[in-house]
Amino acid sequence: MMNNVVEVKNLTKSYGKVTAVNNVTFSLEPNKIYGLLGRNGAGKTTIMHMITAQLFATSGELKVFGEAPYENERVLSQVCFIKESLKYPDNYMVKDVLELSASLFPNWDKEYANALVQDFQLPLKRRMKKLSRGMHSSVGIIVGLASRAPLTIFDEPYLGLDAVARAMFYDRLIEDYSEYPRTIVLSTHLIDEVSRMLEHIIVIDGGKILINEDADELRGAAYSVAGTANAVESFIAGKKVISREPFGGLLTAGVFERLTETDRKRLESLGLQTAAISLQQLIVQLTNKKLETKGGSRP
Amino acid sequence: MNRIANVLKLLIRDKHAWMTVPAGILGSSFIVNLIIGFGSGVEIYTGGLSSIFIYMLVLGIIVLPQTFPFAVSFSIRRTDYYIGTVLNAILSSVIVTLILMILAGIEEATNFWGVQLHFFKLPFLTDGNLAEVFLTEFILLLTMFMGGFMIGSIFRKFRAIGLFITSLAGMIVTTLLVVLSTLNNWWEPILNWLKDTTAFELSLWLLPFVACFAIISFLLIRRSTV
Repeated sequence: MMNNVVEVKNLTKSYGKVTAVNNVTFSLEPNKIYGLLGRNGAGKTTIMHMITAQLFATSGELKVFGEAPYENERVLSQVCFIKESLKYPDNYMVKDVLELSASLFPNWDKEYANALVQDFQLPLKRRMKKLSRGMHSSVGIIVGLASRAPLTIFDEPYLGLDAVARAMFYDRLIEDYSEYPRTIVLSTHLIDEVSRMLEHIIVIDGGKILINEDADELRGAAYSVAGTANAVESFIAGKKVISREPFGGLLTAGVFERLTETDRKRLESLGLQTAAISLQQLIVQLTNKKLETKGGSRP
Repeated sequence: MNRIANVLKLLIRDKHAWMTVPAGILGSSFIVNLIIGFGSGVEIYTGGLSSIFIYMLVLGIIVLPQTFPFAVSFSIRRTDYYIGTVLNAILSSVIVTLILMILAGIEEATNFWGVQLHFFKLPFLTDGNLAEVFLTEFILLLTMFMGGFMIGSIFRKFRAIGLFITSLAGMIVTTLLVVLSTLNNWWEPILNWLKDTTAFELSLWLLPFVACFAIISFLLIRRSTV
């Protein structure tokens, strides 16, 4: 059994009276792709900043590659953290960022980086300040991929990138990951786009962990039921309901449970329709605070 | 050592901040003075040299917001960043001092550029022997940079409110010292001491300040977040 790459225990970060991260415990295993999902302000970025020693925890335990990350060369040299708000020196050109990365990241692959520059059509001699938002994001993505750091974290790395470029990012990530396995953390709002890549999913809501589960488990973990309100109500009684959308005399309800054979038979006899709930829908429904999330009844 | 070399690489890549801009500022100041000297025909003692010292202060202030978040985001330790940046400032100060001394030599050899312009070779500042002049200018440049660096690190850690409190405290202390000096008639001995002290001796008095700036900025940078 290999040691965990990241080990977080009762991690808390508060700013005065506001608790951004509240008593969070989880671990990341080597060579897996993780999805760190949640709404804006849920605490994802704060957690990633603490893992990379860019922010300091208020309390709790944090180990990265078995050691505390703060000012720790052994840890930091194995980590690459690409975030949306990455700031480069004003006078830096694209090639400055790439050439410097070559000396900062021990596993840097220069040829791969050059190939990615071609793929993303980046102008090497343009100043970072003058790049479009999408190109700016591409630079971060290239550094994240070509650094091949044993722990690579992407926090919303594709602001301003079009769908084609995002698809290219996903393809390159999967290709390179299968050739050079490492631990990758993807934090994103575009859950459906990345859901096929994710192997494990951690959902953060209000600074706490809501879900920490294998992605495959989660994919079939919820379904929706639609039909006449009465029939649906009788079916969902006692089940873990995560959403309700009434429409006239009809009702569509989301159920956060696996669909059993008995359930299937009941659905048939009640004349109800059922459909799978996508990962994105599931997370939207779970983290939407307006909805009651427990029990089958709601006034 | 390799890690600190990486920080030097990171900083020097910004050629504008460390080379083009200071050369441009000092150069344009010099050329303007030269033109005035050429046109006026009178002997000129100018303070244009101060521009390079002021630039060092500015560089010290801007180096943190320009490079610290980037360095930490790219897995550089805060300690390495600090050592690398201070080392780069020391090396730059040495190079600038040598350039200033060479230009002062040329100034003297060309009979003050042929137009009686005293730009690099100034009374008092460059009075001592070569070693003394070197140390005077070097210490002055480094003091300016480290002062700016400390201002930058206070802002980094405590934002505007920290800078505001620090400046307020600084002003209060200065005011108190002025009042005390006036009440106790210290001004005459102070002025006499200044009159008898060379620029080199004065620059040595800056060393404790440099040490203070260095320690304060180190402690603040170690605790700074991105």
